[in-house]
Amino acid sequence: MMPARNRSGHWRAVLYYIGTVILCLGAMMYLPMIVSMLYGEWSVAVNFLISGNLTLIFGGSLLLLFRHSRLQRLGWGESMTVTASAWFIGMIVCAFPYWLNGNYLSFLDCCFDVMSGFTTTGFSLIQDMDHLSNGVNTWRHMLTFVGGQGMVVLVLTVLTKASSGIYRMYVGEGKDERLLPNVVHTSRSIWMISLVYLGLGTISLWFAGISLGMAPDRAFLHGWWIFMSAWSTGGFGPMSQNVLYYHSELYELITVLFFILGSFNFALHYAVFTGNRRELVKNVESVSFTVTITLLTLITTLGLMRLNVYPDVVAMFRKGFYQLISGHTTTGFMTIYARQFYNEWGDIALFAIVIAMLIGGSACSTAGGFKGLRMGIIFSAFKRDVRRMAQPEGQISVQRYHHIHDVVLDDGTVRSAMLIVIAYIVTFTIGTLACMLCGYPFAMSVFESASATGNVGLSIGLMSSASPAVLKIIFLLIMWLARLEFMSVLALSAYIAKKVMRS
Amino acid sequence: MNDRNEQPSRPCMVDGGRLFGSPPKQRKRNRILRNGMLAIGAELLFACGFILIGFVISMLAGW
Repeated sequence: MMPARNRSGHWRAVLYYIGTVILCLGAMMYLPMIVSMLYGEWSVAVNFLISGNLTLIFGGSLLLLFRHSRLQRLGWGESMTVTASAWFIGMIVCAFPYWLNGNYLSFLDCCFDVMSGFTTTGFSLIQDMDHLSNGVNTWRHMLTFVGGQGMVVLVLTVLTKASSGIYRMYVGEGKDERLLPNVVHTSRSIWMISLVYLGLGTISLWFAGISLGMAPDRAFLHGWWIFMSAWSTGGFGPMSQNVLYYHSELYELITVLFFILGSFNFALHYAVFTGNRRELVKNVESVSFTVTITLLTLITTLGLMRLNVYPDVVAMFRKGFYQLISGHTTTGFMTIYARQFYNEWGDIALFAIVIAMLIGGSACSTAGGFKGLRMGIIFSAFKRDVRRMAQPEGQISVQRYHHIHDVVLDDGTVRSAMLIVIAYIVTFTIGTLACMLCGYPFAMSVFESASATGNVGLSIGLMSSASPAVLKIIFLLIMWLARLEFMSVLALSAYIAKKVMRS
Repeated sequence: MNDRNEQPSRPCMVDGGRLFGSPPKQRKRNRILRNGMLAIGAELLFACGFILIGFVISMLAGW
């Protein structure tokens, strides 16, 4: 029997769950430590050992102190507070290895990079990326892989029993779909699908790397890192030139395939893996993605063609389409230099990429943006309203959309989709304004803000370690808000405001 | 001659005499494996469709 809701004790349960997340993050730090040891990077290994131990002690203490409150019934507000706080505290503890290794100019830059990884954005403020240790590179890509699946999802995978607030924490992470009735089983299924593709993707990129002439162990590490980044639509790469470094059609093709798959809804993956393969073409998100990618490719191509940026079809496809689909799936992999967007691409192509970044991938996936599901819902609502105007008064029409099964469109669904889209637009506007107030041109500000709001990571060259600290903080908050789809962070703010008012 | 329906719950032996699981379990695992492989194939093919869209549009623009 579930214990009754105890208002004086629920904060203990909040701390218990935060402790569980911290404990899992601490345990993760031993993998980069092992990689560092294998490559003889002893000082890096020691830094990971110190960070891992401290994080385990911190998380373990919270867990032990508040273990008796683990079955406390948490409401929506408290569960969302757990999620938002876990992401924020997780960012601070995961920044420690970066800070100890001295790869950043400040602790703020370390936190920015961790949040960029967790939210699968892909902006990076790291110094001398081309000469990073293998341990630090492993850590960067692991953060983005775990962030893509979700930190609560990670914790749920290791839990044996779900309490009542668990599902609400899962929803607070921007994943509001259950693949299975039990949310713990849902999390395990998400990890199972990701791990199957992790094996397949790493092997494909490993062989691609060897075919490019890389040493087998280096090809394996690059394949593993790039896959983790592609699948979680993260956009981190081990080299400063990102995917351009490889100058390989094969590498580009494999990464495109996996970041498109990474941007799909986990419910869609699950349906296909359980035999419902027709869902791929029937799902509203697939239809929405097909329509938007076709239209935006047309606009991008017209824009690039007008300025004669790329002389032939292959170059147009490899550069133009790659950046567009990387932006649309919110991955952020680049095969051009950041400044080329501003100096060569022109306004029309930039406009198409900005729209693509704002729309983003699918709901309940590793991608960011408004999400294809919401675009589909809003379009269906628009169709319903137009049809209502044309039909005789008093006649009732029902609008349906297909997402795993046929769903009747109701006003509540439309309202919640509209609210999230409006929240994204407001956040994007604030980001753009902040950039312009810091003295950056309009086009650069719009592009970089859309990239942060959509958790994309494509950069026009605005965000760097030399950017003003206030802009870094604003972008960090935007990435956090957008990844958790606003509600969790707003719940945390309300929780803190209530505490302050009471005291 | 072995009849599959004769003793469905009896553990079956494979090459080398290794215990491989009862036929229903084996069938379930085979089904999961088959569905998994078909799913990966279908998803990769579907993703290739988007690449094809991009290529055709770029080609038409170039032409």
